[in-house]
Amino acid sequence: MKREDFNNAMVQNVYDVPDLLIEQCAKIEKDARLVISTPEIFDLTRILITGCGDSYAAALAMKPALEYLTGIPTEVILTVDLARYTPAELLARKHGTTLVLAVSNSGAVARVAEAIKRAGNYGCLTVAVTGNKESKLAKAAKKVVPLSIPRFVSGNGVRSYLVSMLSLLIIAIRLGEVRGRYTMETTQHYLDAICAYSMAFKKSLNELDMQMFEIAKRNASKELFDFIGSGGNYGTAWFSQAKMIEATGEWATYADTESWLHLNCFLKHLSRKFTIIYASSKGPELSRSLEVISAISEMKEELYVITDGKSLKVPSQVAVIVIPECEQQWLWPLLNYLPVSLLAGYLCELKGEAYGRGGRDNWQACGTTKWLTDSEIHIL
Amino acid sequence: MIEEFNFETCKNDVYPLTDIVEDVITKSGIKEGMCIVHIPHTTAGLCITSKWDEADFTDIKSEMRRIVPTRVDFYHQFDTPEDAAGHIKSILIGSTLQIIIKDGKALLGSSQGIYFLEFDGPRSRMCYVKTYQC
Repeated sequence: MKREDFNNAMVQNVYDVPDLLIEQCAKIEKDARLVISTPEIFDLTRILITGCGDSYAAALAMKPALEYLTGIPTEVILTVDLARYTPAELLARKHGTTLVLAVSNSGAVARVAEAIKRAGNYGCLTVAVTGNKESKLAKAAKKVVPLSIPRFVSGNGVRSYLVSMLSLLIIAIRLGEVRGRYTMETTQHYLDAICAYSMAFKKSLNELDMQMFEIAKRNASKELFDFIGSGGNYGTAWFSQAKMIEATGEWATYADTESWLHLNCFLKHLSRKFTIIYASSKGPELSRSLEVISAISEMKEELYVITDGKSLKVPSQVAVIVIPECEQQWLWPLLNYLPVSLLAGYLCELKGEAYGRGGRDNWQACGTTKWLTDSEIHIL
Repeated sequence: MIEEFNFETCKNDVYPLTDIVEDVITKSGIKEGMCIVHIPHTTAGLCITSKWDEADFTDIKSEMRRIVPTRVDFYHQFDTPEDAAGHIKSILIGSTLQIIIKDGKALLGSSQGIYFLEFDGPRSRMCYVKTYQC
């Protein structure tokens, strides 16, 4: 069984990501620079990030980075909550302004546009990050950060997820810089660190690809996929379960390290289950990740650890996937989703599946985007 | 020949350049002439001021902040408010000094020293020194 015979769009997208990151980093930095004015930046007292699907995962993945860089309390809010449930009195601020960031490359999702319009009506500074300036989202928002992602073979969101995270990160770097939290040289250092992380990943991709193909072959019969991560890695865990569902149609779940020991540990059918934990060697949650690894090991459950720590001490039966490290641990989620993207692509091929079940049979109804884009909008 | 010097500054630093400039003059062997000191920066300044009491530097920094406070409503928003304020401080102080060379030495009073005023920082900075006989 040769890896080349199972080449697929997700794998091709993964290989394109490092160069895309470097290209988009410079572009978004330029395009986002003057979107929010200095007085507006100094008036911010809270940040809300909203989005659906992969954009929601991107928000979760970058939340710790936003808080670290801006020093502003940041929450990731479900779009339906922001649109329909959050009391208006919590959106209108007596002191300062709430910045609401919404990322959607298409800008066509009805609920995101609805949420942004509502938040704007209650005085929030709403910023849409979108590739379509004429979209519902762009028209609903007060400001737009334009995205322009070069066309490529569609790969289940692998590239757009990167750009969603990157745009949030670059906006956060800018906010922190303008608020005087660090110098312009430090800003440049952060941008350089992003590119250095990307280059390190590019160098390791072929070896990582071979490793993930072998893991896919060994686990092609697995039917339940469980992903664990805390902090920004919670976003990676969310994205991982999403890709596994889309690519394989199998059941997948995600949890943070704490919740996993409260709940997911009780899942049965362990022989049919595949578990991955994201353990950043520099992350503040490392001690808890190691406890979860020990617990899973005691349960005799098969476990893979994705880490940047070459010398991470784990029980001998636990498999370790080492990926590049980065200077700041809050940058790690920017690319640590690539191993599972490779895995999902190979499992899709090995299981004879099609992304989103090919939009056929029972899945024809969700094979188009009409349920997402044509939903009735209520501005509450 | 134009001499180039690189140095690191702290935030709102006052960095002494007197020894550097005097050293260039001595090495040039010029007895009577001019020395030009220049910094290629827009958020820093060059000045000659009293070298005896460091509290003077605190006064200078304090007064510069009073004259040009860092505000959020500068028109220049491409960079940071600190940067915009630094640009204005820089043009008020200037970025080039001319010093007379007499008897092979910088013609400075006993209290005078040459200083680089950092209006940003920490930054990697540089200055150029050129001497010529006349």
